[in-house]
Amino acid sequence: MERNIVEEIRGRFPKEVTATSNLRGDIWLVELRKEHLPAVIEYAHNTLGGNLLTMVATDRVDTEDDYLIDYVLGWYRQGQIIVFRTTARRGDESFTSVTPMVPCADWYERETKEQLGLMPVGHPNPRKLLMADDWPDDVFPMRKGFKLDTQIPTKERSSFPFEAPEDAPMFNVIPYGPYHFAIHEPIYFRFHADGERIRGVDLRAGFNYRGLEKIAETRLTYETIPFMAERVCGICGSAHAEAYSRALEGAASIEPPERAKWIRVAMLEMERIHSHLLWLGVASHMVGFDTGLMQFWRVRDKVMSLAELLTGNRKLYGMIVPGGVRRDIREDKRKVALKVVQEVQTEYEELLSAVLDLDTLKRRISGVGHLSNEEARRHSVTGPMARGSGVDMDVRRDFPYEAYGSLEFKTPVEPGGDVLARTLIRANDTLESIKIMRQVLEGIPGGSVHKPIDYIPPDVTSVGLVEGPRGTDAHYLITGRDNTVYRWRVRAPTYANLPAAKLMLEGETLADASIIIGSIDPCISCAERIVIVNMKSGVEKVVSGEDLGRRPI
Amino acid sequence: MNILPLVVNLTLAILIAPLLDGLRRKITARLQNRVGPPVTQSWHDVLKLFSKEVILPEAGGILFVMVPVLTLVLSLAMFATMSTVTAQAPMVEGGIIFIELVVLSAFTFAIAGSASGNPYGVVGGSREVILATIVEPSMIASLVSFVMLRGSTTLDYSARGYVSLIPLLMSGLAYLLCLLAESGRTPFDLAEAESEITGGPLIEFSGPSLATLKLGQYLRNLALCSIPALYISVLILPGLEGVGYSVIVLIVYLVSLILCTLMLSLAESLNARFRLLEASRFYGFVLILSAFSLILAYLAPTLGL
Repeated sequence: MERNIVEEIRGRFPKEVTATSNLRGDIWLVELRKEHLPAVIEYAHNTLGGNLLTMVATDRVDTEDDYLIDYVLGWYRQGQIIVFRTTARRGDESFTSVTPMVPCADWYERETKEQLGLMPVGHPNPRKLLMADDWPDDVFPMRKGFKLDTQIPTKERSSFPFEAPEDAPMFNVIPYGPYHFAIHEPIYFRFHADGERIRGVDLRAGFNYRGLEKIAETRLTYETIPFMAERVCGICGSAHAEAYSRALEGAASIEPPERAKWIRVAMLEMERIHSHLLWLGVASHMVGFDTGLMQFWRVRDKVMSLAELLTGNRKLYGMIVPGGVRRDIREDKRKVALKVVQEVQTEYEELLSAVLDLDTLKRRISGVGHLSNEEARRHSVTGPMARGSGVDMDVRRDFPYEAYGSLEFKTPVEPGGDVLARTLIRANDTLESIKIMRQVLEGIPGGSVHKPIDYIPPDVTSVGLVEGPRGTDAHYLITGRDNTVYRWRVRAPTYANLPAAKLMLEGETLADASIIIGSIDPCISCAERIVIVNMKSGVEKVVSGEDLGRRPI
Repeated sequence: MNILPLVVNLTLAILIAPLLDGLRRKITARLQNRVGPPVTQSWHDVLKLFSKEVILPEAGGILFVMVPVLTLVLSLAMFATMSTVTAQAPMVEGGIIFIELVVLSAFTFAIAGSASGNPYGVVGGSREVILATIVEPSMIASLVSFVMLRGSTTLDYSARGYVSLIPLLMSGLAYLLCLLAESGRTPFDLAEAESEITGGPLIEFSGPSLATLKLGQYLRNLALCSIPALYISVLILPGLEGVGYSVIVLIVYLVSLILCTLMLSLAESLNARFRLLEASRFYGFVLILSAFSLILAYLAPTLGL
């Protein structure tokens, strides 16, 4: 039965909720006073089972003299998105933290604190998240008053306050990152290991922070942001361009032409096939099965050639823009593409069955990195991470966008909760994507591929969801007046999934750490989008004496 | 001590040890649908590393400098204890010394890890110690049973045959399985495990010290891959004499090297890396196999097997 989540929340909190309204279609706005925020979010997330999609604070000091604080939750089975909105007056830059009850709000609230200077009162550990160690504590880059050319007064570099288990002195500290062979991207895990057994984990992110959102607000226009969005990530670029475009099209209340929708689906699915093949290769390498790496990447190369054929680029397709797509798919290319997709399918199926038969590989990935269904829900993980723990969610099916409503596909769900389950999800997802890709290439309707957007009303809040290869990409948007966004926040799936790594790693061995972290399919540059970080601070710390605990064998 | 076989052994060893590694890389590459580096690549790597500056980690002491040299010396010493392509070994009764050198060099690599002071080196070192502890007993048992079966501790081709076929084959199989772990390649590259502990003991080594260490490892692998030639020789060589004899020894030796390399490449291409626990389970079975070969070798003359 269809439940109306908005009504349920109104019924439960008649006094606290000050107003509700429908923003558009499946997106609702629930306004409340600041002090009621934790109770309502806790009820919505923990009791009603909403998935925390994103949390955004916006500086409105130049217009309304306040800060908007929005928690966006999604109910996949009901197909509803609710924006919980409250405000903080200027001069009272704080709000009550929901992290003690809803642990997945941790990163969002820490980011809000360092980017906008809104203090999450009651947050258990409001330390830095994205900014460099020598970034001053009283300069907030996402405030409207912060200009891009501001000279930053550097402060004495403080060391990052890592968490340690209580009996920590007994354990060896093992730094995993910021540069590690296995993950290829800068993220710093700090293990407290008892021999090879991991007893405590803490992680530090932020080495890849580039300040894209600030650049978008100040330098870019509506038309140029999709290309920046695509560069949020080298692997799931189209998903970001699509999420931004959907959010903007929603705000402007326009729909792209039918043919453009189908081409968009082709781009997104091609990207998913590429991403999963890439991951399967990397995962094989992480457990020492290099033949898997070579073979999966051989097939992956075909997908890249296919992308080159259809878009002119092997990666970063540059196709999706607000209002449609930039290039049409010519008839002759469509036929070749169909043939390539068939080849990819044959080769992939053969390869997959051979690889999944390997005992040594299976033994390495089954039973490690366990994330239970309750934990997955509690931490609002997304994509293959959630589906691998039996949480059935898929934006393509639950909030059908573009042409997905008229396409046939299944959403693989595995109850296992271990690395094997996540591997199977991605392996089967690839087959579904190949199926979708074929349906699109066979049934694509005719017509134009782009519809210009004439007018974008200002001050409209919009959310664009896309099922990226790693999970739900949530782009939050407030339209502005100067042909650019007033606020744009990118929530890549890794941002939601990475904090859960702590749960998965504790109690496991160092040998399995790589594949467990790998099983998130972490995309660090996605998670950290936003000012150039002093990379040295991280690196110097790793090689400094305190980390290099010497211990006789 | 026979000087001529010693000179032949050492010259040959230094020349072909990196080539053998190159061959392994080439075969592995072909099995993975890659073109792969040229067979001489490992030689180029070693020479390039020798031309680089020496960098010592602050935490590394005198042991850190010593270990690569020690590894090289121990590996070279192995070639004084056995035949490669000469009929006679440089040293009489060298079998026991060979076994000691194999065990000693495995632990030297573990010391390399803790000598660097890097946590990954320490973890890699402790893995190597555990792995060596579970593999070496089988290795020793299989070699001792081999020595007993051919009735001589001299590792050369002048064998008078063997006592019993079944324990010989068991011993040979156990030896080859131990070779998988001893070679330090996937699926038993636990100590180095690039994607887990970023090279383990190797992590802090660079330039000439890494080159020396690598060369030592290549030589050790070559020495270990040479032993199966002796197994083959006791099966086919007794009774042969003259010029044909030397040619056949050469052929047997090359065949042994290529078969061992092929086996290592296949194991590398078709397996994921073992965990420590799985490896110890695997080598538990190998230990049973080698122990049986030892018992049968001891009982063979009495039972008339």
